[in-house]
Amino acid sequence: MIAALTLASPVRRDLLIRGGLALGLVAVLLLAALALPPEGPPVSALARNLAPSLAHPFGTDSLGRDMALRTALALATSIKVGLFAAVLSTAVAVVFGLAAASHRLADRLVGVATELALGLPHFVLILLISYAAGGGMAGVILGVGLTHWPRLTRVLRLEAQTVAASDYVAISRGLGRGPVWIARHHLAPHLIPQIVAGFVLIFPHAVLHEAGLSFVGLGIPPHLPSIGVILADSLRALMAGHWWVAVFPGAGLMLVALTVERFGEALRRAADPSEGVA
Amino acid sequence: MLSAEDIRHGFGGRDVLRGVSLRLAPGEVLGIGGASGAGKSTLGRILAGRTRPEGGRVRWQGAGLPGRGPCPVQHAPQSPDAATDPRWPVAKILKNGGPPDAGAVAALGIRADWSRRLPGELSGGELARVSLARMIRPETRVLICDEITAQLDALAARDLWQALLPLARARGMALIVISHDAGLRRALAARDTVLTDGRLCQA
Repeated sequence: MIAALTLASPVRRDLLIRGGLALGLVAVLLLAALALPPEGPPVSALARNLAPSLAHPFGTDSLGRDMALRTALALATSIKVGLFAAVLSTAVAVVFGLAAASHRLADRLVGVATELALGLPHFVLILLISYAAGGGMAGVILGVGLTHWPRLTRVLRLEAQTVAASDYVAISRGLGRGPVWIARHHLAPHLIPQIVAGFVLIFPHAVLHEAGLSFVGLGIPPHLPSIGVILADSLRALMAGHWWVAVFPGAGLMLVALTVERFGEALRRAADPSEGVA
Repeated sequence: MLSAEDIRHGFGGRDVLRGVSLRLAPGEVLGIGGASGAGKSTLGRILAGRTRPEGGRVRWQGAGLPGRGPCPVQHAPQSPDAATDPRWPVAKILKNGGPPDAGAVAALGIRADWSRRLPGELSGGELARVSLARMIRPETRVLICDEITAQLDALAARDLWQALLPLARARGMALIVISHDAGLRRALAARDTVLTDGRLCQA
C-alpha cells in the first residue's frame, strides 16, 4: 500500500518521465554516432546549401554535408565531453565536500577555494584552464571539469556536517556503532542521491560550455564534429540566409541541455526526504 | 551506579553548570527540572557521555563511561524526528544497536506492520516509541529521557509513560526524567530535583 503510494507520487512520476526522456535522448545520440561514419557525412558538390527537405530534414551546409547527421555527431561529441567533465567535477566536489566536513582546516581551505572559484568570472576561468591545458578535447574537459565543483561541494559539505552533528548519529554512536558503520548507514544514504543529482545537473552546463569554448576556437578542433564548431562556421552561412545551418544544431544543443537539466531537477527533488526518498 | 561529581560546563563564557553532583541507584527514577536554559539538556548529554564536561567527571560503577561499544547510559532527545534517520524504515531503526530487543518492542506497543514505514510516515507518538525501543536493550542500565513527551499530546504522553515505567521497573533500568513539567516529574519520579543557578537542588 505504502510502496504503491510512493510509486504513484507526483515526484516519482516526474522523475521517471524526465529520466526516461533524458537517458533515451542521450542513448539515441550516442548510438547514432556509433552507427555513423566517424569522419562525418560525405562532402557533395551537388548538394550544397540545400534548404530543409525530406531528403535532408536539417538541410545541407556549404560543402553539401547533411546537417542532420552533422548535428547528431556533434551532439554525441558534446555528450561525451559533458560526461567526462561532469565526472571530474563531481569527483572534485565529493573529495572537497567530505574533506571540509571532516576537518576544520580543510574546511577553511575548501571554503576559500569555493569562494574564489565562484567569485571569478566563470567563462574566463574555463578559457584560462583549457588554454593552459593545451586546448582540444582534454582542454575542454579539464576547463569545464575544474570549474563546476563549487556548488555541489557546498551541498555535500552542508549535508555531511548536518548528518554528522545529528541526534541520530549520536544515538548510533551511543549504541556502539563505529565511524565506518555510521558512514555506511547514515552518511552514504544521504550523500549518494545528492551526488547523483549534482552530477546530472553539472552535465548540461558542461555541454553548453563545451559549445562555447569550441565556438571561440579553444575547444574541439575544427575537423571534429562539434556544435560550437558548426555554429562558428555558420556565421557566414547566416549572412547568406542559410538559417538552417545554425538553427537546428543550436536547437538540438538546447534540447539536450534542457532535457537533462529537468531530469536533474526532478532527481534533486526526489532526493529530498521531505518530498520523497529516492 | 551512575554518579556525577562537580560537573562544570558553559557556553561562550557563560557558566551553565557550576558544580553539579548526583548519584543514581539501579532502577531509580530521578526527576530533573529547571527553567529553560538552566542546563537540563546539557546535563543529560554529559551524563550519557555525549558531551565532555569542562570540569568534573561522570562515573559508571566507579570508572569512566566506556569509550567504545554500547553505552549503559542511553540518552533519548526531545524530538523523535531528530533522533531517527529520515531515510531509515522502522525495521532498520529498531536494529540500530543490533538485533531488536523483542521485550521492549512488544512492551512499547510497536506494531509489525510499521516495519517498512519511514519516520515521516508515523505519528509523533508512534515514532517516539520506536525511537525509545531501540535504546532499551539488555545492556542499557540508565535511560535519560530529555523532554521525550513535550511534543506529544496529553493522551499519547500518558500512554508512553504507562508503557515505559513498568518496562523500566521490570528490568531494573534507572530513568532520569528531564522535564520542565513539575507535575509530570512528581507523578513519575520518586526523587525530584531542580537545576537552579547551575546547581542541582532537592525540589
